[in-house]
Amino acid sequence: MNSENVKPNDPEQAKNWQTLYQKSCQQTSVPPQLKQQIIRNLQKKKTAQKNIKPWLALAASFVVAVLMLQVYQSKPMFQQIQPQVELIELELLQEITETQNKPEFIVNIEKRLANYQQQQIAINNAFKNQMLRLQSSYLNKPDALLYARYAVLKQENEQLILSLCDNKTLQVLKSSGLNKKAQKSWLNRLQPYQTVQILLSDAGQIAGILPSQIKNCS
Amino acid sequence: MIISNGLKLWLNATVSKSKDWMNLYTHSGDSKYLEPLIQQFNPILFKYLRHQISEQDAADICQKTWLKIIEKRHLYKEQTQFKAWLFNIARNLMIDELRRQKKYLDCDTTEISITTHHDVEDTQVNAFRAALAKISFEQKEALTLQFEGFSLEQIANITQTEIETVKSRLRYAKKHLSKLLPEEHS
Repeated sequence: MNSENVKPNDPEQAKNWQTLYQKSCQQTSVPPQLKQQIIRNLQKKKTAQKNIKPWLALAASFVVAVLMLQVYQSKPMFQQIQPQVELIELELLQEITETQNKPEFIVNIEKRLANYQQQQIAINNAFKNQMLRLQSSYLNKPDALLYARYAVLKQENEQLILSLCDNKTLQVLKSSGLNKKAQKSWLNRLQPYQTVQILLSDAGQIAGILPSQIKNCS
Repeated sequence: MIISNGLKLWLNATVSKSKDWMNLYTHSGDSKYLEPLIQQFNPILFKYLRHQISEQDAADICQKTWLKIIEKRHLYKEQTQFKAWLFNIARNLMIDELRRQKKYLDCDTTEISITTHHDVEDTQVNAFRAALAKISFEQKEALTLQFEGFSLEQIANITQTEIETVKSRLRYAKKHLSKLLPEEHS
């Protein structure tokens, strides 16, 4: 057959080829066991899928549990509150008397706890005293920007009078420069004839008045 | 009782009329609906594949195709012709297999097709098969899909090409086949 005679779009030829293809298909034998093999494979796959489901669920729940545990360990949900010594309200301790009904280890724990609390109170008081001493020594330094002087507080004719204890000589300081509101506020907090510590600025102005640790000027 | 039997008969008639077993299988997942499909389409698929690859490979691809249908049943669309979808899946698996065997777009496939057709006595058919085996894989694929009754659009979908490419492949396939087949056979 010459190439010039080729008619690719010849419908009759195409029909002829299609018939030949169908004949070819008819003469092609399908392996008789193929259908059964396919059905068997499908059933196997279905069974495998059924069997795998509970395992998948179990594995998934295990993975979730592990992940949750890791998250919990790496980032605790509730941060532990660190107690701050200065915020603890100090209270008088009560003696543990009712020990009859408590187990021994609880009694021991309570005793140790009471002991620790006592130690804590003692340490806290010592710390406070130390702080006051340091504050006092700093304020009494002549070159401090803010310095303190001990004085006795008096009130005359609604006037605040402070007698300074300086080198055992009394000096009267009339606080006429202070406004009345401030005076009233201080008087509410301080008792008359109370020894106080006056805080003075480097310019000699009263910056504040604190209750003093010493009882009197002498 | 009479009403329920009547309803069952009506339902069965509707189902058998629609013959859309794949829809039933997709919605129920019950493999009993696949059996009529296997019965109907597996021989057609196998015979089509036998024109492309060896008997053993064709049988393997058939099995893999039905397993794939189970896996991809959620992708089946009701408006799709089942046969076209089946051939599309089978074609992809065949290409994968040929690539694995390094025979894709290779002349070795022609040899497989020729040498394994022992059962054919008809010389005309034999000559047709021999000629078909000699044309390129893509042209043979387009031509046999057309012989299977697929439209140009369906062939383009199955082979994942453009319609124009399909047309071109068909034209060349027919041209080559005309050259290869003696006058008396074609």
